[in-house]
Amino acid sequence: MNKILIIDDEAGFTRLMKLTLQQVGGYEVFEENDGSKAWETARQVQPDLILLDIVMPGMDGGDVAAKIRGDGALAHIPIVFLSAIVSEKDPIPDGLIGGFPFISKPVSLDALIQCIRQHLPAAQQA
Amino acid sequence: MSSTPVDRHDAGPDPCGQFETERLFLRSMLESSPDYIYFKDTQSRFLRINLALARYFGLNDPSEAEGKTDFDFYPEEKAREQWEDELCIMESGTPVTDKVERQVRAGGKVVWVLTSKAKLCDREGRMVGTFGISRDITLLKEMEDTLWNERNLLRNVIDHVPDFIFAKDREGRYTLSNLALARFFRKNTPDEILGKTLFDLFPKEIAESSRADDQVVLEERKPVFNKVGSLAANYWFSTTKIPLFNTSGKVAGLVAISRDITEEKRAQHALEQANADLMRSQEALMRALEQLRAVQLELIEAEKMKLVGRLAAGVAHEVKNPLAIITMGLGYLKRVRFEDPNVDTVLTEIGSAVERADAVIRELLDFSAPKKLNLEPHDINQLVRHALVLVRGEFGSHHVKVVEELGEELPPVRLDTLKIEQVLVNLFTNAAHAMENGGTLTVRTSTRQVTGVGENIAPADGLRVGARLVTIDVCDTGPGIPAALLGKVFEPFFTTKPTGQGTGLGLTVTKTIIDLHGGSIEIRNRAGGGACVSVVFNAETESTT
Repeated sequence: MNKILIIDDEAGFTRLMKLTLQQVGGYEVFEENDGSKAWETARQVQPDLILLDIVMPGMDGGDVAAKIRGDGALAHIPIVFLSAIVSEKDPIPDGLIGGFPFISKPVSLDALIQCIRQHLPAAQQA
Repeated sequence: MSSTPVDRHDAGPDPCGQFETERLFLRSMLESSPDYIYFKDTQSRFLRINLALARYFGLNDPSEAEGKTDFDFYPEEKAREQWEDELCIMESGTPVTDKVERQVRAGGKVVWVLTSKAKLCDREGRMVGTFGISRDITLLKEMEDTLWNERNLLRNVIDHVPDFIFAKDREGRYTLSNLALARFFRKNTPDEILGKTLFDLFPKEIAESSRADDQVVLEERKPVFNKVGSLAANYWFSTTKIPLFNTSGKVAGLVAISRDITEEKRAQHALEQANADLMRSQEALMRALEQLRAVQLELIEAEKMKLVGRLAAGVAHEVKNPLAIITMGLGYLKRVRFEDPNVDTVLTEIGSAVERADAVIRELLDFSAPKKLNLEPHDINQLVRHALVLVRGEFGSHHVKVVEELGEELPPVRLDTLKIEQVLVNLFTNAAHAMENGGTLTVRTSTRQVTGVGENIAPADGLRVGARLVTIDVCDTGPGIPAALLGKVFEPFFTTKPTGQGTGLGLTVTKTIIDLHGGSIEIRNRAGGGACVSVVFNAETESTT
């Protein structure tokens, strides 16, 4: 069972994603809606992959990602940014942000699962 | 009283009464003549004076003067002058004729007389004295003095005004000139000009022109006022000519006054120049003002778009999150088996609504975001072919046949390939959507050179004669666009597609991208039906952002 940690201040989104991924099966999903508690939760959960929102009150996705990367116990965990963020200057296409993979909300279930599978460590692939 | 030649009548018989008659004539003349008449003997003693002279001497009767001399009536100096004149006459026999004499009468009154004197002879021709006749010309002399003074005054005025004053006879000969005119011709005195004509003094061309003006005055008998002309290079004069009439009313010539207005002309010219400069400055200022206004509008527009961009980004973020939740919910529900057979349809409709909302947000962001172009020289035909491949699916589903008429040897155009591909895909998709029941899409590319003939080239377009243009025409066989709506197709949120099928931003974004490339886009209806969009690029445009 792959452990997925979703860090997003949109509680409705994390709740639905959890339900959906559980319905798909093969995933144990953990939610965290507070950016400032994300690092702690990650330490507790020790997920196989983190889906991380960018725009969050308190601590944003960038800071969370930096803290996790800076933690020797968590640094190996793949992080995928999943955000509705759009730049004033340009819409951001799916790709990379700051070296992290990025997918834009809204995302279809199929695309999401494909992305998760792509970034899960090979040893964890179901 | 001694006998005198005048009343001697004892010289012999006078059978015919001739002497008596002459005596009567003489007496009448002596008594009634206003002139002063006298007869003197060789000693200059008066033998006889007439009534007028007696009155002049203040005598009651002419006989009172007999035996007296001028020394009894005149101051000594005057009396001596007259005595010497008489001596001279008696010695030489030569008369004194029309001598003008100044006499001062008792009381100091000055009198002028005109005197003629001659020797007086007896019947045998022997000189026996002198006689004289004097006329009082004081009045004439005073008139002459007045006239001279007036003439002198006039001459002074004529000679001392800075204007040229001159008169000419009918033949054009100068009959009067002044010092100013003499100096202009480098003569010492005005008289040196008299008798000369224009042709003696001016180059032929100027002389002929001036003579023609003279002729008008002489022939039409009318003055010509303030006629401006050039008498020499860079010298300007204003001349007034007036006909001169003689006593019989005929035009005898003309009199004229000419004023040097060169300085005025130069000042006027300078003023006109300054005025013209001012006008040019004003025009430049107006142009600058217009440009400033345009820039101001652009800045306002840019600021507005910046604001719209921020607003769009904010709205997009807030809308995308709920869309993400709906999408995730749909993902969940699609995996649940429902008894109701319509649930699938409901979920599909919800899914396409979410996709549409997401598309609107993307295009809104696209429309409002400032663009940075990545310009590289590129082959337009290659871009067209690639874009056609991208929309192949649309053509297939709409039964659209594609005709490619791609020109050869098109010059490369500097453009952002991704943006132009977006433009082409947009145009092709619009065309496909316009042909619901199928049709033909014609894509044509061509190049031409700007000749400037019949072309409206504004400098702001960055075009110049000789520039190479590349055109892409995208024509469909759909229903075309209602004429009233043609002007609105590039406005944001304008669409002819059914509600829900178009965002109304596609052509707006397209135009923005073309504008950023310094190109132009126009849409028109084809004569044979359908619409045609033409996109024109300047193959020489260096860069734009």
